[in-house]
Amino acid sequence: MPRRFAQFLLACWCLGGAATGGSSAPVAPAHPSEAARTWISARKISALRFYRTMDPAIEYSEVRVKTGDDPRWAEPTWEDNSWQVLTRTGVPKVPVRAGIMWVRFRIRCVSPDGRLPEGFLLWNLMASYDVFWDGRALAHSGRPANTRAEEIEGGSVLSRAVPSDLAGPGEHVVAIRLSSHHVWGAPEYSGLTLVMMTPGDYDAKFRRDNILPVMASSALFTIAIVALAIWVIAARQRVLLYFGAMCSAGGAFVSISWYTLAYNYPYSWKYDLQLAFAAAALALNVSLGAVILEEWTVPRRRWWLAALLLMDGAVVVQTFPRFLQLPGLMVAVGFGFVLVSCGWAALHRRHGVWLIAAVVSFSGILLYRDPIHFVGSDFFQSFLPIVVGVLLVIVLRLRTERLQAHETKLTAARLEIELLKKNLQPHFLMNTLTALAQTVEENPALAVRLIDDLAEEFRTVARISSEKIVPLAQELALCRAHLKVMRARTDLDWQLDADGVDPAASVPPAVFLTLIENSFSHQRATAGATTFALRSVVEHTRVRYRFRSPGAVTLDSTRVMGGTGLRYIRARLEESFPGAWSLGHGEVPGGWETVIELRTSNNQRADR
Amino acid sequence: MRILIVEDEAVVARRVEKFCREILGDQLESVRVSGTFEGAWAILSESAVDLLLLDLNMAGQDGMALLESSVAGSFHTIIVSANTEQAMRAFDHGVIDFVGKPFTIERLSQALRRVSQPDGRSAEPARCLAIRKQGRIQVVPVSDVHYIQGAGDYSQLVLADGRRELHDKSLERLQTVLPPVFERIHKSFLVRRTEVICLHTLEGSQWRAELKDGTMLPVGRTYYRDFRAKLQ
Repeated sequence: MPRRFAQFLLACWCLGGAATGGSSAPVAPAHPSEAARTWISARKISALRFYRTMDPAIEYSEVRVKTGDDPRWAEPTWEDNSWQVLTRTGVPKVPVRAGIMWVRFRIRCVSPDGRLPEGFLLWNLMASYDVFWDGRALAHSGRPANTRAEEIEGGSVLSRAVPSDLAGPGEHVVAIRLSSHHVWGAPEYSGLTLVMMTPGDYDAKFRRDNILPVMASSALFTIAIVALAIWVIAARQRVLLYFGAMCSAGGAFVSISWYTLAYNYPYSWKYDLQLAFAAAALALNVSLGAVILEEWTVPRRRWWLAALLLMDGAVVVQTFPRFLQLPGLMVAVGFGFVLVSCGWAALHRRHGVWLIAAVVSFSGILLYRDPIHFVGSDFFQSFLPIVVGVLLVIVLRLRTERLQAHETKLTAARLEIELLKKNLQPHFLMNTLTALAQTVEENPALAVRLIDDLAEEFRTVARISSEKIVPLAQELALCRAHLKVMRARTDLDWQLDADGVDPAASVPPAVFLTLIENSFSHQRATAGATTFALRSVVEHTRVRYRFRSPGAVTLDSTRVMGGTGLRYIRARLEESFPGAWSLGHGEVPGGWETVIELRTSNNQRADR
Repeated sequence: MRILIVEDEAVVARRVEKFCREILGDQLESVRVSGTFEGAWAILSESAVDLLLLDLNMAGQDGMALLESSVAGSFHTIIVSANTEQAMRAFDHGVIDFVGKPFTIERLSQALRRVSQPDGRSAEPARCLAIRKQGRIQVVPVSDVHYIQGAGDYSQLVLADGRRELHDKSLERLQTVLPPVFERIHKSFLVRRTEVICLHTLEGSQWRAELKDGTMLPVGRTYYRDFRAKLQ
């Protein structure tokens, strides 16, 4: 692990083109023993995958530096043993903003023919420079000078052909005269990578290596646009915005990484790009966290995000001011945060937990195994499972919601029909008509009143059947109309006592009416007990209704377990107060009591 | 005729009673009304009735249990109910008629005639018979009954497997609710016609009906000619 992490830091340094300062001195002191020439194979310079593709026969000597300016230092025969050694084994760290200086090293090819590729590629060097090959001026990037005003800023990449007479067997001396007055911000050192490669090969590699980043950034930005379009047109859900932001951040992450490696831009932009890369990583981290929190509707999301930002802040402080390790650490923190969220979501039975945990764990393993390339060339492939996983979870939820919405509409229609059917039930309607026929003969005036009461009940039911919520006063009026009809049918003095309840409170239609009907179906009336009682208790955000039905109870299975009446009540409550209601019932002295509790917040929402 | 009305809605009960009085006139020996099934059974236990007029949808009562208990009794049962979708089930259990609410006096009169007339038949034949047995109700499919033997005010059902079950109804009342395939062959026997394989003539103008299982049942003089014609 320490070795892997060291490689990671090295990779960050190479990608950023800047070197950390601090305790590790970049310029090794000159010692007599260092005068001895050392060689390293091109493949062993860096752990970056790119170096593993290089010809192992090409070897580099140690890299030496000297501040000052002397045209003779370009000569291959110039004795540079007294110069400071920048590195013998890795990518050299060239001091920046240190006036004009020269860097010298040697290249050779130990293959049987001993010839070098006839060209080189020089990048990562934040400087304006002239390149001398065996003393001959071969290329320049900008113009180095003693002052910032005089220096003409060079680019980040340089590719040049090497004449065939300079690529033959034996050692070749590369001398670079450079200045870096335009470097700004935190970097104190610049990387220097010179790879032997003909310009034709470089162009081919550039084209080849461009394909994946272009596809990756295009794909991520396209997904982001699609998510935004869905948000605008179809589903106004914040999670889609966050998901779009996450994909945009991922697209920016890939684009910046790709631009940094592939394009020739003024070298002073290097630090700007490093900051942009860090910002993209931060945006990716935060948007990923926000998507997960929003998708699972984690309570107190702001606090969760604050905790994430706190960890991000620690990463920023830790990597300030160069932010070289920031992208990798930021991604690691983001993954850790998501996995913690998965733990919470698993406990609270949120959908898609295992899918998200699986894809994030998979990407996390890739990050752990190869952090260097995870935030570089492999980012898209490594991050893609998360994008697909999160997208899948969101889409599946949207599908479920659409089905539920459809089901809700059907339920509403069914409930409306159910309520209308209540008045057309043979038991109610035919018994009432039979009683009416008898009353017409016995007492015509009473029969007229019965017709009026029946009509009032029918009118009210027709009016409220399609409503989700009605004022309690209207529900009570419906109940009393029904009791008047029952009074005429049974010769018993049915009453409803609802003292103290709030007539403006909202309730689903015909819920208490159904309780009354249930009472007539399951309880035996007695002349002395004919008063139904409704009481309400308001407790903070809840309102609890106690409805007491009089009469001897028959504990048949439908009364205890719930028949069509209770099914209707439960369906109505769920329709009007989704997830914010409870219903309990049981036998009490002299009757049956039903307790319905509604949460006020949802009550208000339903009112709106 | 002694009638018991079981109806929990007072106004409807009054209407049924009024119609019964108008229809039966002097034939009506007594009419009593109960708002609960328990009250009805209390009445039945202390005095005999000929006809039960029963509402199946009474508050707090299991309609199916009411139905089975009623048809197991010695009396005839007419259902007076608003739920006409229960009619077929009621007939299956052996009620003599099903009068849907609201009803006219003519419709109730038609139902009462099925009980009061000697050759009255139920509107639909029963498919099963409820038997009161050790405090519970046992339902026997009519298709399992081979023949029925009268036992005073009761009847003994002889089933395909040889079992014998006692029914509270008399032979006459059972014949009223059973399908026409059950023929009266003797003052004490009702037999399923399809079970009879031949008739034997004995000395002294006596006849015997031989069933598929070898059982020999007496055939009364009054019923012989008619039964033989139906067998042919």
